[in-house]
Amino acid sequence: MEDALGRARVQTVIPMKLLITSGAIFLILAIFPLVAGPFQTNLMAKLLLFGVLGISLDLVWGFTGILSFAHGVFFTLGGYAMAYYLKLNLSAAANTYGVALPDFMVWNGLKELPWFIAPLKFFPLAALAMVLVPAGFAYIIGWFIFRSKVSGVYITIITLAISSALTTFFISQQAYTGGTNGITDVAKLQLFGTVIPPLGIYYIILMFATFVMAMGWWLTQSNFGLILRSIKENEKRISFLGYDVASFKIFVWTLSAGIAGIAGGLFVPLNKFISPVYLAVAFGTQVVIWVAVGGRGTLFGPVLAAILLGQVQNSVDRITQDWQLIVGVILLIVVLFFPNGLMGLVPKQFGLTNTSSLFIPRSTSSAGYVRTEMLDWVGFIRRSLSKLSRNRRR
Amino acid sequence: MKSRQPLIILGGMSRRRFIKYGSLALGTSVVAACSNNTGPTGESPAPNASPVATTSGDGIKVGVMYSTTGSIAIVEKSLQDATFLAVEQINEGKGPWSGKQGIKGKKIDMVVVNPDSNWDLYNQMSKRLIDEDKVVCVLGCYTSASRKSVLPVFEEKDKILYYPVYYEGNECSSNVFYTGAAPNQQITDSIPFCVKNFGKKGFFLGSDYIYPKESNRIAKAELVKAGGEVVGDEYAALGTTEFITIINKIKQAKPDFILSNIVGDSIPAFYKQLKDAGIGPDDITIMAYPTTEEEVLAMGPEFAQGHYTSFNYFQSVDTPENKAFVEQFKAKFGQDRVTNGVMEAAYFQTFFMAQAMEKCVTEGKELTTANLREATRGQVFQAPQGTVKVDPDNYHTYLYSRIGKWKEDGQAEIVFSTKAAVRPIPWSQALYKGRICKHPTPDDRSNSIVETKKDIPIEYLQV
Amino acid sequence: MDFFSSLMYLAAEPPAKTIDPIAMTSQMLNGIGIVGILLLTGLGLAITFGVMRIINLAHGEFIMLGAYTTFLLQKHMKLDLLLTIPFAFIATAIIGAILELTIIRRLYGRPLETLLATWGLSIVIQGVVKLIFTAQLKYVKAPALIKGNWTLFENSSGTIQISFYRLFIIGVALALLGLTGYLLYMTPLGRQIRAVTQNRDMAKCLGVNTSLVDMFTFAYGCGLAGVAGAVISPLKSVAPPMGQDYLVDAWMTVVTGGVDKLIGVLAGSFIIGQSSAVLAYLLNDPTARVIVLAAVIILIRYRPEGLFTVQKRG
Repeated sequence: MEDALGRARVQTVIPMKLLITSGAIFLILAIFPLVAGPFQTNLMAKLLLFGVLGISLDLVWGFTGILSFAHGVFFTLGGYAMAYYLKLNLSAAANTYGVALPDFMVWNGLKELPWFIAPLKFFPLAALAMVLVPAGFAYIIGWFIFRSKVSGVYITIITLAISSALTTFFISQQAYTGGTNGITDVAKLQLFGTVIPPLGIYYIILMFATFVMAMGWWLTQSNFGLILRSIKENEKRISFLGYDVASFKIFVWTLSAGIAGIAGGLFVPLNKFISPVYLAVAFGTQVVIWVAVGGRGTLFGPVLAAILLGQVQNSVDRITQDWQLIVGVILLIVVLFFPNGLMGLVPKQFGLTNTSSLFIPRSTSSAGYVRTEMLDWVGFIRRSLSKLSRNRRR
Repeated sequence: MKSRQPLIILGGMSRRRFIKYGSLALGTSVVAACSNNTGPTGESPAPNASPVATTSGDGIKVGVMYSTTGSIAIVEKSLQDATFLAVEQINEGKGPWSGKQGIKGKKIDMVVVNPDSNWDLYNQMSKRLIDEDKVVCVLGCYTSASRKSVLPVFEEKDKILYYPVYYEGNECSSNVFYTGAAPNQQITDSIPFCVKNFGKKGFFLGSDYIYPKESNRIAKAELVKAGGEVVGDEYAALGTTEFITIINKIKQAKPDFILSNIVGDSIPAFYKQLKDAGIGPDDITIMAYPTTEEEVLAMGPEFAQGHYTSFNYFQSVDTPENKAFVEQFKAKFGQDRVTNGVMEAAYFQTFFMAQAMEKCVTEGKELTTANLREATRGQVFQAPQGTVKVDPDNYHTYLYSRIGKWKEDGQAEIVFSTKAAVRPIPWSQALYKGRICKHPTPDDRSNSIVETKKDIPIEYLQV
Repeated sequence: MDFFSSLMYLAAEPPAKTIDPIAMTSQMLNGIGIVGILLLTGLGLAITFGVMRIINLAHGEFIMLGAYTTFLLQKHMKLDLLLTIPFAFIATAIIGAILELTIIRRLYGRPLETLLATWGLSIVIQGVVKLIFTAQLKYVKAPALIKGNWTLFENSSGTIQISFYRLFIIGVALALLGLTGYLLYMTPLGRQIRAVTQNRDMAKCLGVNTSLVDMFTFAYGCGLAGVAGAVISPLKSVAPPMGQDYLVDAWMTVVTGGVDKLIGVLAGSFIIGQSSAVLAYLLNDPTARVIVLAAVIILIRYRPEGLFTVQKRG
């Protein structure tokens, strides 16, 4: 395996198993709404979004080692951007006060639309804000904390403080944010003049989740991902190698906030409201739990955990009203006995977890390598066949 | 390549995996055991153990959605208890339902959910109740935020929510029957009472969310109308138990009375710390809206003694219906329990619902949302507080307006009461003059807000 | 609405017309009351986090357990609150020791997992307490001995006074701080605890029974939380979610002051308590909270180990 040819073979491991398994999962999810009722479809869409939120946290926690309680905050900021858009586009007849001003602003005595909310009436701007507001906010925080001595637990405590402060702030600015009620009673999402039905929203969310998953996979398999993991393992060493650790951290942090923001934005047309409940520490902790239970450093884990815990909660509620006691016990069991999370239990044959064998260590230019490889279809197929045959020999 | 260890070690040897699976199996059995222990029969050792979900039989399914865990549970658990009592009486033909049996022989099957004081779960569980459990209607919610989070669901799926809580008004939905007080049934009488009995200077206080803010805004307008003066306006974070600053501000402002819209577990903290700071009811009197028998019991009656509450119902209301209600409630849930206005609304709204269902069945109509809605409009019931009626135009409820002074035993001495139930007006006339809500008959769910531009007279229920 | 007026809206309501010196003094004196509660709730955390590096998210639940102990003893044994304090300490310390033995012990050296485990614990403890005591608010009587106010200054324009119970709280907090300091710095056990904190392996080599020390330290931290719960309970009412209110504040206190020296907790609670009190008086409660939290974030950025730290080997 040490000869030149052999090396070339080993470098380009083809995730056939991963492709097959994820393809099967995608198909199941695509057929799901045709089989399940409207409630299950709605719930599944919501849990997929929560799962994506989990992936976004996993990028910074599982892969880079930064535990954040603030991902609910990014999610909610994106959600508010979309909620303002939908609220401002509520038809005059549907608006309680028949004016351009949302109802909660009227109650709080505002006479005109604040300048910083007014542009969100237009979809392109709202869509931009959905990504840029959380990403920009994350960039500022990231720039502020990652270029300092702060590390480990203290970053976590900073995110805890951010979540707590923003919750208080949003609740106290009732005239602009709707206070604890948040923004409710919003218009249905329209694209190009047609109202998107619930099923359409489900598929948009499914596509988005698939996209995030693929992007996350690509990102973590590239050398960029390798650097992220090295940061997690030994930050000092990687910085001695000449990498600007803070920049990597800020980049992945901002990116994950952007993903969380889009997830929040898609959540509003699905759920028809957004409120500070998603800003609060409790929700931020929920996201952490999905990642921990699912398995850190895996992309499927958070989605699996979000779906499983959501379904457990939904069905246990039929048996006992003290269902969160059971959720707590599950969390304890996972933390104590399965440090790798649920994904640690998924047999390796599915190829979902064992991402580490896919590394391409020789290449030094990070993303470029992967890109050229993706274009090289002939080599791709050849190598995958040889990989398969080698596996069989084993 | 071979030498490079995977950076994340997953999976592992088969022996380890075996141990993992084994312990997972153990884990799930522990979970299963837990869920069995806390299952339908043995939910809690207290006498208030009630069936969590009765889904058998061909009864009429009704959703009951109150949080029994989390920060709001301290209030919502009592509402759930009151609802359970009412449903039991309907199913067994006891109390106000004596002589009947269920809804013309059909039992009410409750589907009980616990949204854990989480607005997100209110939204999700209301969807489940409607889509999966196919309930006819839902009884539930306490805070404005939870109502707002489920409102889009009920409107989109066109189902009915019976909502038992005093609230800030400003709503005119075809999908909610509001059986708690509208602003004019709680605020309008209390402010002139304060000005007359305590003085002109009022300090307005509330938890930081929509109900206290809107309620205080209305009350301030009423105070100015009554010739009084607003000397302070403060909001504490929802759920806070630290009132030292606000009490200091009260001391400096030297008001004649405090109008308190502090809610939840902040209430006992505020009353206790106010007394601890040396301010008694003789110095500054509190007139509160959300302080009820339950909170007074929780803080210890000596802290509330001498203060006032404006509500539609007190446990001390002297009607035969109330005596029976209090007695039956205590018999079912324990002698140390008290009843309060919100619980009473949660109790009688169940009978509104049952009467409406009965009307549908008698007329041979199916229990659809439209039929149930038309049948509920104008229902009259001999509630513990007196005769109440669902206003056929705006779906709020005719309620009494009462003011009670707390005594040392934790009960209120009623010092003011209207002679009959007051007609509800969902919009405060001090702020939105002439705006009313008038749903057409039959209700086509169109926007029903009417701007009359005129003064709306105070009307009382004529029976 | 332009940008500056929207910034001004941060202050939500116009601030007090003029700052009355008497009122301000009174407020700062009352800020001591807030300091007392922060110190009391932060102290236990300073032990579990500072000494053991356990990110204890169940800290609030130990406060709640202490409050329930007091409630139970008052209700069934008719004990005065003052007499229940030792029992609150013992009961929560025992529960803490049991949890350390069964759960926390497995997670040493993995601070982020202690965070998850203690969060799970907090859910479970709340759930169990709710099953036993129901969700109803419970009432705890203040001690009969400590009543009324201490008036420092009184004239026609205002009074400066503080309630004796608030003074009692800060007294208890300071006493516990002193006791903890004595325990850590003056006793052999404290020397062992500090040795384990500074270099666990070395301490082990030198024959320190580290697992016993761990159990004792965790139990002691939980016991302190229990005392906090018992003492605070008459100011509010007792309910399963009550501990959650204190969690974030206690954390901020501990982080601000730094955990390496006990004096850090005192400094942290003093800074946070007094600045919240003053800001809340000048502006309002929610705004004060936002500003204080923002200040803590900036402080952690520049002094991640808190204001009072010592150098030590990793």
